Amino acid sequence: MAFASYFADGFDWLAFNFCAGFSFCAIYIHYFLMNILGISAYYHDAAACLVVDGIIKSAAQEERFTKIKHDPSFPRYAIQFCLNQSGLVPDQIDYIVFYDKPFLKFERILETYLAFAPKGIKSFISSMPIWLKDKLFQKSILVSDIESMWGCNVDWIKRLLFSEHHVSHAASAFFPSPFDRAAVLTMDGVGEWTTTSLAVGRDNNLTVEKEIRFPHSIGLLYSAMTSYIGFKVNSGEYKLMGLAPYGNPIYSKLIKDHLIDIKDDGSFHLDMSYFNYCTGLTMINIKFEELFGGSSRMPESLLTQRDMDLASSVQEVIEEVVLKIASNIAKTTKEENLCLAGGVALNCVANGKLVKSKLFKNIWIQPAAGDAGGAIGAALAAYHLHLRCPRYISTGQDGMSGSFLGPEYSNSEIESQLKKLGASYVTLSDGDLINVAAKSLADKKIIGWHQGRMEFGPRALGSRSILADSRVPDMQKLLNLKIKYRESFRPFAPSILSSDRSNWFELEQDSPYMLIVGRVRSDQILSTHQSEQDLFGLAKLNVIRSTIPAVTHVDYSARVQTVHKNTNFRFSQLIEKFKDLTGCPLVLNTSFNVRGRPIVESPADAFKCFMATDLDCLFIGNQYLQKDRQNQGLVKAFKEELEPLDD
Amino acid sequence: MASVMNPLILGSIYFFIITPIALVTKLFGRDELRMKKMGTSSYWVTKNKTDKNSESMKNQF
Repeated sequence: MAFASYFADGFDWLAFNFCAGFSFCAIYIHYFLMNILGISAYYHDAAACLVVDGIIKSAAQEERFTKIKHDPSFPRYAIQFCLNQSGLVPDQIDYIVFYDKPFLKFERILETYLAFAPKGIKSFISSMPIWLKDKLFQKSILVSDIESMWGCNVDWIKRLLFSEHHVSHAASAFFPSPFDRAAVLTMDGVGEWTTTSLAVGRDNNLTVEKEIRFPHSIGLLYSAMTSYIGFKVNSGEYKLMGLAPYGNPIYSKLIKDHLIDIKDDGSFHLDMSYFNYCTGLTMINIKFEELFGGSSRMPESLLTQRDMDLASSVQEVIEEVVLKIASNIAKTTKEENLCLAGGVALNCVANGKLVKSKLFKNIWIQPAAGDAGGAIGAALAAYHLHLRCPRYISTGQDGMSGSFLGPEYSNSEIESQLKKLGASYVTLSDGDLINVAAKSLADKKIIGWHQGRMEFGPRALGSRSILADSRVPDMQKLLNLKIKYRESFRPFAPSILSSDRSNWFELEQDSPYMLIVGRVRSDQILSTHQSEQDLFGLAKLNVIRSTIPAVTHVDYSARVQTVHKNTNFRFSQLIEKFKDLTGCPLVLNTSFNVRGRPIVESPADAFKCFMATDLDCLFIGNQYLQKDRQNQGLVKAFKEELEPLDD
Repeated sequence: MASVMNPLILGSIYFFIITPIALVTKLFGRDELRMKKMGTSSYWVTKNKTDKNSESMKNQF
């Protein structure tokens, strides 16, 4: 269908341009070489994405270059990378698309004060100068940032476009999906006004049908509970989800009776008298604390059963909303496919329930579901919705290239970076590299794996990963102690060959982006002693529950990544070899970083992280590095540079 | 100077412009944030289709 419309549209263009007296060459260039740069910035997790003729060529988050986690600043390094990757000069960029609409955001902020005045004066005085500067003058800030990077030769204002926040999310979920038609659900904290939206996508068209508006937001409800449990808003939500399996959802009724009213169709309404995020500088107020019978937990203080029960309760409520909305969408749109994006779509436990519910035949989730992914959506929205250009869909394959859209380094570049840092390495052939790495894993070594193009989005998917053998009983403890420098209540994630998925996990579909939770299959589960079952809290995590304990959560779930040959050849080869050696087709995969720091980008970053942690060996391209062969004098400086931060 | 003046000016704007407008519009039942619970069976809001035209991406609104 899309193919047909592609030619039909192309033919119209041909006819039109011939009539207008242009040459075929001009038409070819105009029609087939449209370079669009998508930008997400100034709020949280800035990123850039380059789309050429509707194909996502490259995308990267700014934090990877600046080493500032969730860096919100104008993504100049990410943009420069995107251009270099495709060999483009600034003048060749036809459009620059910003991922939200600043005026709508400003209107929402004003309306919020109007709804609450005279309350909110303190936040009005402290925030309004910033809002005025940032939102009303967003266009000039953007243009001046672009000009400071590329100069003033081009009138960038004429090439600047703005996409609505949730349209960006919806576009990032639908256009790269492998479906020619689908229902598209976006859920996050808040965009301009929208917090939840339903869109319907057909070929190159995408229409937002209905929405739920600020301040009613399940993303913000989840964040409110995150802050009440003493985690950082905008990054601690992931911890809350990891904590939930330790608790019982005994507060669900209280939450539903007081905080959120959920209708049968999944739409919801929050009682704002419990929240402070509209006009205050915090998420919740005293009424919220009184409802749950105590003040917020101090960060870093001991987690109690109550905290775990609260996490479990809010997780259950979120799942109920997501499932009810999905069920309603399935009924009203009659679509077989569902696409998801927005921060809430990173809740892989809820995604797992959604897949299990079988409400939809297929579900596809944008791997960069958070705001960084807005850069992809903004660029694709401009191409398909603004320029009305057709869309390619290759059967059974999405347009994200496995999310491997970031920088890559040739062996000579790797060697030059390593030499500069005084690293000691050997270069292996392709075959030896796989053999040595698989053997190291089987020997219980913890390895750094820096290969090919960097992942776009929050997860390491086998390009910038730390890998280990998930069968080793104390591997989880070891990794937390020696590499991650944290006490975690979250197990690590397994990366499994897609062909072996159903032999190890109860998971109905592939999960290439580590965004769906599945249960470890019962034949891999081991029985536990009564004394182990009686354990409390975090101690539960150390119980050996399955043959792959380092990736099995206390409720026997696992955050699965399925590895596919066509997008991740070298990583799949490594797991194949590991399977040959051990019979186990999966490895433990965690992001290649130190606590609180962004994931490594360059070979130099990887080497520094390798030296600052207790990683045993490192594979960068074809280069193999062993810890005991390195100059130990380098350790101190790198340890100081990469001191763990609070995450 | 600006650090004293800005809060004074903004505070005055809030009390003498925003607050009266807020109180009057509330009196007339304006509830843009839909803070009052509605008796309806759904909280979905139909998206305004007029802003769907492709030229809208040129605007910041």
